Amino acid sequence: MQEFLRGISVTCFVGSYVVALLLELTRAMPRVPGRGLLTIVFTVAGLFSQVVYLIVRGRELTTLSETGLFAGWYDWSLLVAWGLALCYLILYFRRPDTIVGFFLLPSVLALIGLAGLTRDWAPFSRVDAVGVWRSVHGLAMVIGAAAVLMGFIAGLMYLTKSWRLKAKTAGGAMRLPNLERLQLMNRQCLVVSTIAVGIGLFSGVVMNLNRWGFVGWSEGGVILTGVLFAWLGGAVAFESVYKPAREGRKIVYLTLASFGFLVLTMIGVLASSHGRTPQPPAVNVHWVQRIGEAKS
Amino acid sequence: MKLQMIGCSHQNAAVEFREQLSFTTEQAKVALDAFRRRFPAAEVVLLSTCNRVELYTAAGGTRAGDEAVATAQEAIPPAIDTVPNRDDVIHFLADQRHVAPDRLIETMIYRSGNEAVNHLFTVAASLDSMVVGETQILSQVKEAYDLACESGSAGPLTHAVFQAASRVAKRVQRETTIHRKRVSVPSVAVGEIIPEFFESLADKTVVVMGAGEMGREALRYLVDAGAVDIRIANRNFDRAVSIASEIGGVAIPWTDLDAALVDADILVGTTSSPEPIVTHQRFTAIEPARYQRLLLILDLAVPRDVDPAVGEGNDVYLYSVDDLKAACERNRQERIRQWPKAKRIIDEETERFVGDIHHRATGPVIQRLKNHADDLKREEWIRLENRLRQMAVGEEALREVEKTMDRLVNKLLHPPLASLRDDAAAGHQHGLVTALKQLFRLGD
Repeated sequence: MQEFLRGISVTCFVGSYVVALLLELTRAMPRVPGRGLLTIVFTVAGLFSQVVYLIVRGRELTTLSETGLFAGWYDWSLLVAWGLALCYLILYFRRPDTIVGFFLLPSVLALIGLAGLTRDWAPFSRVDAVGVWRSVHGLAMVIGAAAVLMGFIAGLMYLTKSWRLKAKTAGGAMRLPNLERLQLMNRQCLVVSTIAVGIGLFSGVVMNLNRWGFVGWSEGGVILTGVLFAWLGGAVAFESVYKPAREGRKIVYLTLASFGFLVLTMIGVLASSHGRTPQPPAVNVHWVQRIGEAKS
Repeated sequence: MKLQMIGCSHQNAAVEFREQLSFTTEQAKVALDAFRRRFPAAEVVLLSTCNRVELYTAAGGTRAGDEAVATAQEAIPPAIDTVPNRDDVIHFLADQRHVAPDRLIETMIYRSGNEAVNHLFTVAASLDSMVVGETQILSQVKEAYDLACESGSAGPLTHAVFQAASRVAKRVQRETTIHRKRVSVPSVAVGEIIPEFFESLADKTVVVMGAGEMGREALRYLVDAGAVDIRIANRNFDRAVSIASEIGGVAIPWTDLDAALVDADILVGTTSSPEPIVTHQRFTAIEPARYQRLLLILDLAVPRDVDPAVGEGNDVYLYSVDDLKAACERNRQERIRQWPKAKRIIDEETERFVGDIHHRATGPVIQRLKNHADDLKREEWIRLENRLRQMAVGEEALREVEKTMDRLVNKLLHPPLASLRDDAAAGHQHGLVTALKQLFRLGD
């Protein structure tokens, strides 16, 4: 199985995306039976093969002493391309009648092309990579936390507005945005926070792999961030797949609960050494040995 | 002038009470006929809208159709052949609406004479409306008057006062800005309540129940506000089709109302149904299919179309006519600056109308007095002319004498007639008409 996965190359996911793009282009033609399903299948295949390719490549990179993990233009281009392809798939599910693929899939292929052009460029060192991924991690987590907080505030405003509308006291000088706007804000905050926390979690993993060679999964801050991400991802999936969850005040309850998870996460982070001046959590003998072997 | 008004409005009565008293057009016809049978000598106009129920009665003269009424009376219990007083009207209303008279006495307001005229002018000019300046009330006043004319219950005084009310309302519209940016109950509902809930109406499903005047107006505002998916449900399907083709939306069969309720983001109730159409039980049955999607219900009907219990759901927001009062109050404040000017016009018109009515009452007396004086003068002139001709008085001298007699009569009559007119303008406070009739034996 591992051999099979190692055999996945750039050609596999590029081929999948190209087929998906060609299927998209057939929209200009009369109805093609099964086009929608095939488009999804090829896009999912492309995403899967690309993520496998990136994981395999990541594992190989960790064995090299000085080369940073996901620390070059090649990897970054592929990561962004994968993110764009995922966005395309989500948008396709939400509005299959739109032609967002005309714009997103060429962009995905262009980014993979850019990766191909920069493949031979020397990657950054581990130290530099840690700096880059730390910045991404910090920024993403800040955005994620702000989005959760904003969602919480929007939720409170929704409930206040709803209460006032029930009491027939809305309007006048103390006006709040309308319910539909607040509901939309809640949903947007939920999506943005999920994406940001996901990026933050991923970048944190890459940062730690670059820095220590392993991730402290047992650390409270990391566990709770993972739980927060799982909750947010679950909430987004729930409200995307299950239409009734988008109706009424249920989305508000989701964002209010998200704030609860955020508070827990913040407590977990602040109660641990997470996010302070980097200190090795423990001497990783295995990692030191490998660096020594590589130097010799 | 024997005009009186007994009624209640949103100013002094709750919607539940007004619901009990409100009349449909058919019920109003029946009530007018019953009133005429009971008080043949009286005139009556019944104004029944969402926000008010008012009965205008007057001491009338002979009306067209009275003979027919008199014939019909032979088959019914003896009528009270007098002008009804306040208690009579209260008991009549109590019988019609099956409400205890004491409750009516407690709640309903009473106006008579000048105050009744002033009140009607104020109502017709929309100064007493829930949304000041709305124009719907004027057409409702006209409809009430037309119905009274059709049923033969209007008479000289009600003709005069209702026609004057229409004229005064138009003058207020013309000379003030109180009616600019007009906002009726439907316009407040669409223009001020809906934006508290939704960003846009373009992607919303709106269901309108009823295709009457209120439904028509609500539909017009909804279309103007950008609603596209509008479904009109009415018991009379053809009527729904008619207003859908005229204004917009799609008519749906009355039997499809439940399916429409499942899809609805906004429900507007405008029917004249005496019972709620959307009962709690009915809504509970379709609620699971809505998945607690936000539903705004604008119940503009009186009696209400939607059971108040429906509004208790988490994501259901029910606004009845009374709930629009807050928005209406804001509008009232905005228009408050125009109010004194409009009120001055109404007071001025009331005074003029009352003066005219009184003057009209003195007209026949003045005419009879003048005729009486002319007859006397003519008799005396004939006698004097014969004498003077025998005395060989010239034609020129005869004309001078006749002119002198005319001037004498006019000079004698001028002061009493001027006093009579002044007294009429003041509402016959000194009783000069009666005095004149008796002094000169002018008869009735």
